[in-house]
Amino acid sequence: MPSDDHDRFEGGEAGDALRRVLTPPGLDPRVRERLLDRAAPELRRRRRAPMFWRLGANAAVAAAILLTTGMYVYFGWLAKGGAPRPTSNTVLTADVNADGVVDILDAHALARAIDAGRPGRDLDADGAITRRDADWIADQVVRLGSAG
Amino acid sequence: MGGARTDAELVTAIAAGNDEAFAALVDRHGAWGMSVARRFSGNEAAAEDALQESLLHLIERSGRLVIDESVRPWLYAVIRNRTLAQRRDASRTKAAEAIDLPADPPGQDLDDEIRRAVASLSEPLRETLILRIVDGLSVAETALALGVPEGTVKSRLSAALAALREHPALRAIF
Repeated sequence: MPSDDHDRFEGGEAGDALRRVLTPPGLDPRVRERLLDRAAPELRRRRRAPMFWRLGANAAVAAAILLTTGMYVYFGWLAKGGAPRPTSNTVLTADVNADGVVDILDAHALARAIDAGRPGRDLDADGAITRRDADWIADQVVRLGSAG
Repeated sequence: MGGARTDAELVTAIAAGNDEAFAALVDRHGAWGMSVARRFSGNEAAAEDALQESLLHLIERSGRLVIDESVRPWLYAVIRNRTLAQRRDASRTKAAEAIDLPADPPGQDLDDEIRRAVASLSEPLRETLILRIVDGLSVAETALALGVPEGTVKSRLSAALAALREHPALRAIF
């Protein structure tokens, strides 16, 4: 059958009859309502999506600025001499008697504290504060003395 | 823009989450989509479910969907695939073989004959005839919806019309 015949059929009585009989009725309003309800969350999510990407872009810019600033400060700090030398405060963690110097008196002070049940810092880092920590101070003091 | 928005414009608006555009698309194609789902589905509830899923799929894909004239060829394929998947899942293939055409108004013999004649066509011929003649898709759109060449659409249409002319009661109008 040529296309002309199809066209005549489509526009003729037979086509009209088919459309009259087979054209679906309108969508039930309850079905329509359920369709819209089910789609609503997805549409809402799509409306929010651009805002999410804007926030994401702003966060990325902020992170880049922070990173750049951090690198600038860090490399500037390295250029000025690198990591800080231990200060007197860090050295004086072993200054048990708090007299400003680490000496054999601190070893004695720690030993007394341990004996009295008032342990201080775990200076030899063995997980327990014992007389060995006092010995550690004494060793350090001897070593310092020898080096000097 | 004075006239109604095209399907492509509606789909673009839907991609941005526009509720009104989605409602307009449902009003334009919802009844048709439901009839397609009914034809492949076993029951009304399954048809509605398939239509809902298909329209949600349209929303998901709306940002990447390329629509020329009508969304129907694309939507037809999606609805058909959804309903057939439902049928497979529910193992109701045999029950759904009988198509569900619009209900018969009482006392219209010719209309009944037309329904019966169309229902007796094989599925490829029936779908081609309905898409092209009843739904008004062009040959190209029908081919796109069915995933076949345009020549196949024309030959199926010829075969469908020839089969309808076989029915004595319809010979006068076909």
